[in-house]
Amino acid sequence: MVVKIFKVFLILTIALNANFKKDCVACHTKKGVDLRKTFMNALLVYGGKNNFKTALFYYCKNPTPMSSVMSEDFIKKFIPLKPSKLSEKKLHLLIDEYWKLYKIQGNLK
Amino acid sequence: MLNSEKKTLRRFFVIYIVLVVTIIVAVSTIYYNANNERMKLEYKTLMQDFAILQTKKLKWLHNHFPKYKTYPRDDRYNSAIYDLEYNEIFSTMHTKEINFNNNLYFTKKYVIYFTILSDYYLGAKYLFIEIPKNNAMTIMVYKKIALYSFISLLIFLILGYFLAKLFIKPMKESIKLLDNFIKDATHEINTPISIINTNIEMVDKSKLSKKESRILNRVKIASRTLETIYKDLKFTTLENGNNHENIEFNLKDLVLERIEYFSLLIESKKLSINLNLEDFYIEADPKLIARLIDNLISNAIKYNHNGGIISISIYEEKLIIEDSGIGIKKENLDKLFTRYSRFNNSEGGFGLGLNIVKQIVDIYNLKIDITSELEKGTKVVVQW
Repeated sequence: MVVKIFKVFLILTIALNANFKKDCVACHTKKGVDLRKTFMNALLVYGGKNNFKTALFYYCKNPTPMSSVMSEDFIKKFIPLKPSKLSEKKLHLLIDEYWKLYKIQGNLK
Repeated sequence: MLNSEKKTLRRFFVIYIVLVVTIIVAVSTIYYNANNERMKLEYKTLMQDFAILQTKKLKWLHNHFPKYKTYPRDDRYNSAIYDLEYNEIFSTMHTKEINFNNNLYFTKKYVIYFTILSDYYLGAKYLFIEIPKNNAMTIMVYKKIALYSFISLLIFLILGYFLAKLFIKPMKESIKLLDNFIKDATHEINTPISIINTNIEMVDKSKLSKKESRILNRVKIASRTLETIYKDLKFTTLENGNNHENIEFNLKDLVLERIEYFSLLIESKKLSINLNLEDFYIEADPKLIARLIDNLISNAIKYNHNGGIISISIYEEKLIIEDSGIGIKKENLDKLFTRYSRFNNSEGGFGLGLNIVKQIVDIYNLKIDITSELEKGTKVVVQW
């Protein structure tokens, strides 16, 4: 039973990872946006995990230059900003994955 | 010093000491709080500087993460960072007691200060700084408080001593005045009493009519009563039981002699006497023991009803004098031995009798127990 659950979890993780690469990394890399840098900038403004995730979700759905954590010069390159077309559920899962990949907790020594 | 003086002084000192201790505690508390505030300010200033330094280091690490992952440390302090949801991001602190409500607080060993970061470097909103507590400062404050309190208490006690003296001076003067008056009066009544007694003895009773004989008896009773008062006054003001000469004698003989002495008074009140006297040899001054017996018998007569009973017993090293008189109120029983205290104005007297009895009891280390019931009588037990 435990082995089955582990396998399902592994498959889901691999599937999501693939989605994160496809749905986020691919496009950001193409546009020359460093995901680590955006993460650190967002963290500087939004701090805690839940606040970060909520703010990022809201930004992805309603992106404006005013609510962006990036510099104005940087944002200008991407105007007009387009809202994410991903479903809410998927966007939540992707943001969770984003947090897991770049979070600070457990990565300091 | 009289009991009333002692009592007044005791009350004065209790009130005085409570007041002084309250003042000292209040001043110490103010001093302690002032020092505590000063200490807190010193800690806060120091730890604010450390917080500014640590914030700079966090900023640098934030900008260089994940190339550099080592949390910034300093020998002078420990630190911790928490996010806005109060989750720990990283900590080098020893204490686990994290308090987000007070930005400076103390644990047993450490002082902890926190500041809120305007930019959430590494996602941190709260930066905690921890330094070891300098207990020497607190101990110094305690030592100072103890020393100053002790000195103040000492000064106040000395002051209190002089205040107490001033306080009881009028009372002492009144008592001294009364004592001097009694001393003078005692001297003055000695000669007339002696003259009356001598002349009574010189009267040839065989030549007196029945009526004259009754008159002479009344004079005799009055003179005996006066003589008893004189002896009490003399004991109280002039002798105080000093220079007593102890000899061995039978207490029974002395009791019988004293009953004989009061016989006229007993007859005049139509009192019945029940005697149960065993031989009991004691070593004491008969004059002093006579004063003790006289006062107890005199009270048993004075405060008895006409036709009442007086029982006197000697057994098992005890002298027991019991009357069927008016009795004493319960609340007055513990004040019986106080000089000049009287609880019944129907009979004359100075309130000296039981005070004298107590003095004699104390001289010979005897035990005295008085029990009484209103309108039933009083029982006095003197135990050798």
